[in-house]
Amino acid sequence: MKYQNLITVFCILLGICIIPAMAADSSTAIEGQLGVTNVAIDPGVFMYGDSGTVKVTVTNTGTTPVAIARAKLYSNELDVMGDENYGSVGSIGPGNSLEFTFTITADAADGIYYPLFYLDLRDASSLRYRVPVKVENTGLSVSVTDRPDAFTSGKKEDVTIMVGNPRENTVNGVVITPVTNGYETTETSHFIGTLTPDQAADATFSVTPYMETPMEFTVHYRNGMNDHEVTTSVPVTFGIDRKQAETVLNNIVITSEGDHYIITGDVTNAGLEDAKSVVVTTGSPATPVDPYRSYVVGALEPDDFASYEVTFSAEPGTTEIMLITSYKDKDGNLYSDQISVPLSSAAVPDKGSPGAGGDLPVVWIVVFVICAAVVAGVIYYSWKKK
Amino acid sequence: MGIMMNIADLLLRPAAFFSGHLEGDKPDMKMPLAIVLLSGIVGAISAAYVSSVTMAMMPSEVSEMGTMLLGIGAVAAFIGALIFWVIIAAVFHGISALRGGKGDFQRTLAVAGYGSLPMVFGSIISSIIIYFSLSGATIRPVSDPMQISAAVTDLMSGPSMMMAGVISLVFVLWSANIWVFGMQQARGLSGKDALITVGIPVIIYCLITFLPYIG
Repeated sequence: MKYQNLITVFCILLGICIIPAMAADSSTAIEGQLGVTNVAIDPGVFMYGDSGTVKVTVTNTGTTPVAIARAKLYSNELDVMGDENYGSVGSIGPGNSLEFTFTITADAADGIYYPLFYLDLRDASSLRYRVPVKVENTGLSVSVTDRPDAFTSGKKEDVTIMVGNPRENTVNGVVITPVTNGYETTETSHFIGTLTPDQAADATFSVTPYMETPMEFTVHYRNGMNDHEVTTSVPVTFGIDRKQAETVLNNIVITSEGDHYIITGDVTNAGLEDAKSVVVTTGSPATPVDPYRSYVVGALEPDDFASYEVTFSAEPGTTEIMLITSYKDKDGNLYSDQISVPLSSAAVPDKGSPGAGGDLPVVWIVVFVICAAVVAGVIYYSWKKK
Repeated sequence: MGIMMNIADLLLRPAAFFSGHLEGDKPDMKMPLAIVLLSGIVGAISAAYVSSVTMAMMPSEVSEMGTMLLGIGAVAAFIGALIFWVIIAAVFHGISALRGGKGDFQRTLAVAGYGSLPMVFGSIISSIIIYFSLSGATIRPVSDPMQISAAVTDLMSGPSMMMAGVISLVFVLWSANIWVFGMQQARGLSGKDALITVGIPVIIYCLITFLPYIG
């Protein structure tokens, strides 16, 4: 009997020793049936100050439920919010998954950080997983790919802006907006949308500058849920477009026709672009008169020419007059050029004096009558006194 | 006083004047020559002024020779008056010969010279009209030499210029009247023959002078 008691005590002691060992083996088994099966980070790459989410998916691959006390995300460099939502999670059944989403803000310099996902299990064990998060502050690349050689005040020109995405992640909501300051644009903005890594898109704006202030274009885009913008400027310097049409007047001939003059000649387009609605007329001190107050030549292609004829009157003593040529470009911008033409081709009677032209002055008629009367009287007298 | 009386007789009573100034075959030619020279001087002054106006229309390179051309114009007008004197006398002499006229050519030459006096008055008045006409005109250089002729024609064909020509013709008629009486004396013609002798060339002269204005 005494021996049997000794065996019983031994068994109890053995049991006391074995039970903790068995308990330890059960814990290891539970931890092994949980696993992090997916991690989603939005945006894929943070910029400084960006806020985003880190979503960790945990799956129970075992056959028994696992009780979870809480879930947390630890980081010394990044600000983590939202982990208080997982203070009491419950349990995850066999074959089921749970998603744990945390909000983080990247108030850190460029680099790769590893916040720790910690899952506290009720049986005093835990699950740990490092989540890599990238912070990269490079913005979109904006460049001017096409612009005129020189701007002209009031002339509409095309400016092309190209936006490229040098980042590792996709940005969306890309919009180019011109900042109107001293110029007009036909388009108020240009929507590009999504730009995947290393993708580029361009947009053309029709701009009409009025002063020599730089044109600015702002590119708005979103990295995840964060708005960003980048601005580029196009310097505006007024000058002469080397390709624009240029009208040249040749073979100018002035003839006097009664009380007015006629100018004839040729107008040639010496530029590289079409000159449309070419009109030739005269300017001060000349006064355009009918029948050709102004002469509409029409369109002139480069190196093309046409003849014209304009009529005008000028005050006596006028030594030169202005001959004005105007034309429009394809956008309707009006250009004008004028040259001085000397009135050296005719001897013109002055109508305001008893000159060689105009009406016969009364004084000469009186002189003629007197002379005729005197001569008639003399002849009569000479025959009478014969 | 005597000269003035002679001039008054010449102008107003040519019949009486010529009866005392055409004695012999070689009449005194001083007065006719003086009249013709006076006519030449007036014509030269008028021509010089018109030339100066014409010069203003010429291109600058031509205008630089203005003084020389002006002198040529004046001399030509002066010599022209002398030539006209001889020609008109020759014409009168020829026509009068056909009408039975007799007498030395110098007598006809004297009559033609005397009769030119009213034409001097006409030239003076015409020159005054031309002066006022052209001094009021705006003269600009003509760049195209082809247009100079047209420009001068335009300048000279105005109403005032035409009036100057018409007044000259009126005084030509006065001269013709003197020539009629002179030719009767110089060539022993009847009134009718003298009228024909003088009338034919004068009418032709009037037509030649006036036709450009009509055309």
